[in-house]
Amino acid sequence: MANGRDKKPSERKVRVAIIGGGCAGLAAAWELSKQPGYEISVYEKSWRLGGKGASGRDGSGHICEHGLHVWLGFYENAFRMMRECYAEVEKRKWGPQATPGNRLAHGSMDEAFFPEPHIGVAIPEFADSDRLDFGRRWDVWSSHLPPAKGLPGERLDEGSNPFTLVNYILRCFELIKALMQSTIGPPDGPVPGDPRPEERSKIDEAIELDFSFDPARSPKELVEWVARILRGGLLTTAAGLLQAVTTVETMLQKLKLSSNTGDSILQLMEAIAAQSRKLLRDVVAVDPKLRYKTEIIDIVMTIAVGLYRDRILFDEKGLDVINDIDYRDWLLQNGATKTSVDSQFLTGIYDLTFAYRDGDRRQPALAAGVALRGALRMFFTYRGAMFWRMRTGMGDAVFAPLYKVLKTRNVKFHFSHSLYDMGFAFGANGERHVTRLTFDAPATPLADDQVLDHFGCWPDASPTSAGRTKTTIEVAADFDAVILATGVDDFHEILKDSGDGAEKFFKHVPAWEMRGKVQTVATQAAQVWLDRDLERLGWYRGAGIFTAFEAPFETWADMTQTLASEKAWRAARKDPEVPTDAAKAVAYFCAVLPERDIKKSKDKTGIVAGNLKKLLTEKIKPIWRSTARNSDGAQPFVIKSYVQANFEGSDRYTLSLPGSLEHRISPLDPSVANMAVAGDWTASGLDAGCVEGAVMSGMLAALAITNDQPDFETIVGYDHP
Amino acid sequence: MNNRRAKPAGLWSREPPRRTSPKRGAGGFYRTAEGDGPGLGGVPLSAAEDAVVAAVRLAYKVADAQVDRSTRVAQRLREAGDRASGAGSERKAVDAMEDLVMKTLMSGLAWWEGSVAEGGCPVKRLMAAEFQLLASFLGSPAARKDQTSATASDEEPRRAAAPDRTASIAPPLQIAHKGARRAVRVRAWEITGAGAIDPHVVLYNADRPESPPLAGELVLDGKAARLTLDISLTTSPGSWSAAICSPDGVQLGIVEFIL
Repeated sequence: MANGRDKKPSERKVRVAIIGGGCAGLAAAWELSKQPGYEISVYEKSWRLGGKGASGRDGSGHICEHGLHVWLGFYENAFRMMRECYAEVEKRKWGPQATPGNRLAHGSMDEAFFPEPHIGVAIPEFADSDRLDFGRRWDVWSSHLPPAKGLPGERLDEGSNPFTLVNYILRCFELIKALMQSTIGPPDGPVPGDPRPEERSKIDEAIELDFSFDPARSPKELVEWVARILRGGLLTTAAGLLQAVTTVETMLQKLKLSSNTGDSILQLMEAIAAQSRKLLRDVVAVDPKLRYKTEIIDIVMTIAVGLYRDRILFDEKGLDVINDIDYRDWLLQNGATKTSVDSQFLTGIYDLTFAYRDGDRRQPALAAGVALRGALRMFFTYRGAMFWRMRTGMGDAVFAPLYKVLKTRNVKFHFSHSLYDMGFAFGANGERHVTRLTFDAPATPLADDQVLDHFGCWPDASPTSAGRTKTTIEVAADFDAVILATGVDDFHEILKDSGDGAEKFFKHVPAWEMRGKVQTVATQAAQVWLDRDLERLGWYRGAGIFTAFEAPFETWADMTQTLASEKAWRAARKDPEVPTDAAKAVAYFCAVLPERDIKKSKDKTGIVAGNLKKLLTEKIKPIWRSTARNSDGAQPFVIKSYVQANFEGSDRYTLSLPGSLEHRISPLDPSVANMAVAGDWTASGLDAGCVEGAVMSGMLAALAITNDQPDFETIVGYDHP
Repeated sequence: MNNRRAKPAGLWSREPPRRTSPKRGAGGFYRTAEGDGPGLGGVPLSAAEDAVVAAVRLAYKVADAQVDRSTRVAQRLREAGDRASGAGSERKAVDAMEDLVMKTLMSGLAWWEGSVAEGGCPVKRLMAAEFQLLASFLGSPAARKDQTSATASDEEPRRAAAPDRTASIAPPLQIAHKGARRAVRVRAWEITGAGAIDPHVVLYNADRPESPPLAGELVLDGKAARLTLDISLTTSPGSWSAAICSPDGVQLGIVEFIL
């Protein structure tokens, strides 16, 4: 593999070997490939790109996902990368209608991503009474969150920059109004989901909806309606007080306050919070339906007080100062009620982030600072919609176009290359260099036309069964710099034995020893193709993302939009009809996979299949109320299912456990002179296991390599408090 | 272009970064809304002229947005009412809605008042202290006084210090009655321009525009002014005002009284 021995590094391009073709590695490749002076090679252990986001198509074009993937509207860096990528795709006229070889599942950003404002949290019915029979029946609190100006990933201009005080306050108003709407409106009644013309807000709609009430309504109904409105008004007042407190805090944030003044403000906030809680208790006592909203307001109030009490927004470390404590514990310390802390809304946050140590639902753990930063970014800085969904699998919508565009930038891809050993040189001056990378590689590299299938999608299994061989590349001869963009478990596995003899790597760089510091959790995912639409199954709330249900799968989403692309895949190959051509809906489910279950059985996929069966025969009934199984236990509404267990290596989800964040390695860390690390497990600025965290870390790694007057502002949100 | 260092051994090394962790200070991250740029855009608050200015701008924008929205809501309420004017019951529903909105607001305020009025409520003390604090930030001289202990005794000098509009450049005004001697309280009396004055003054009732105008006669002798009124027992009470004009109609002042 020697190709550059003759030239000095200063005279030729810097050759960067990127290990790992997930979001982080590809983001690094993307950033480096935009600049001259770099020759980039990506080494990926799988036959496809994507890491935790990888997806493929089976022999009939069905999408087989790693999990349930949605992007949040604040993923500015990830969306920017994809907008740039799809601009290239459009320029080259790639897409589903292009000629073979130029085909991709989507030809533009708008085809690939679409907004999803509808989110929901499961609420056990009768949970507000003495009958805490969880799991018997579930109600769903759901809301269409208001659209925000701009689109994620577009240039942050004056009209849509979410990182302004103006935006934070205005967004606060909008969100509270949306919450009001969701509570004032009849819980089981129609939810306005159509796009709103002009700038009409939810509250405007609420008023208009209320006009439609029947004037001939009975006096009793009218009184109840009035009472509900009035109670809503009281709640709004309480929420307004919180806004006022937040505004005062904002005004005062840059003034030099004496400690006495600060204390008096804190006392004011606490007094207001106490009074508001008293009000809320009174209101809820006569109307249990308002309890959901009470819990949210209580949590918001507590956050306002806690942020001030801990002086978090004034600290150079921002929210990181509370990363050593669990989110729920921090809320309790700051006066939240136990009911609110145990509410389904907070449970939903833990579920969405798989925040359970060892996958054990009795051990929820999420660093408070990371949780709050995520919540602030999620609610206050999204553009367009809070969630964005893909019309196909993430592999089709994200990694296939990235792969094709990066190839045009002369990035080289080496698939099925599994790194298992690294050589290091430790200089007398303390400088350390990667000198060698050794891979387990295919004897015959994957041919270009084998990488993507006829529709521009990744196959669901390796397209070649070639023998394996050992391949080594050397520093100076084959590469100059390395970006190690694997998952944290693979990172540890690779480095623990790397180095020669007594010169083990971790002896020289003990701070990079990650075992037990940054932990991961196994996850499980399931997809079902259904022979009838969800309304016929008893689900009337429409598409959306719903969480906080019970085990084995807490989170689910209607993914019916993927059916069209699956059919197009088959049509492009003129395939014969398959049973799923009759599918009317597709649902995806995901959750943690407990370690104790993994240890019990060698057949991990079998565990997930068992869980799916349990879901469809027992647990789904409270969600899809019109389901019924046959006498033999089969589910007549399921045409096909697919399950996946993500239990090893980079497939596992990275946790943000309390006390663990300080151990994360920064991609900017210069401990190894020619290497940077990347991945959602690194200190990316977001410090959370998600696409955005991975992309940010990849961008940081690229900055570390280029280091050409690094401008950290190009990474949106890196310095977020 | 890139700061790549060629090591003696020929190995490539990267430059040590300027920093390896985020700077999470709020003032350096949150922006003013103005301007854009390659990254976050705007001007960091810590670099803006000062945060109070930013906060005041913010308050204006928030207020503007809320006023706009309220206007739209009010407009729709009115339109809905107009549409429903044929059927009395729906019209009443709209009225009831307006009532509800008001009651909602009032109930909120009532709760707040009630909370503050509770014996020993810390909110009351703290609100007073915070008002004083904010006032001092904004440079109000009132902040130097103890707002929480305002008494009748210090109310008097404050009232005396208030601008007396009748004592402007105009001479003192006397009221003379030709008809019924009903009590008149002068609220405004100003002469802002020099020159001859038309003695015929016509007063209009601002509270009851349908009332017939009231004629008066104004005489100025340099040291005093005398307004003669012919008020009958049926003259409408309320606020009466008139323009003081020159003979050719140029307004030079105003007189306003409460009958």
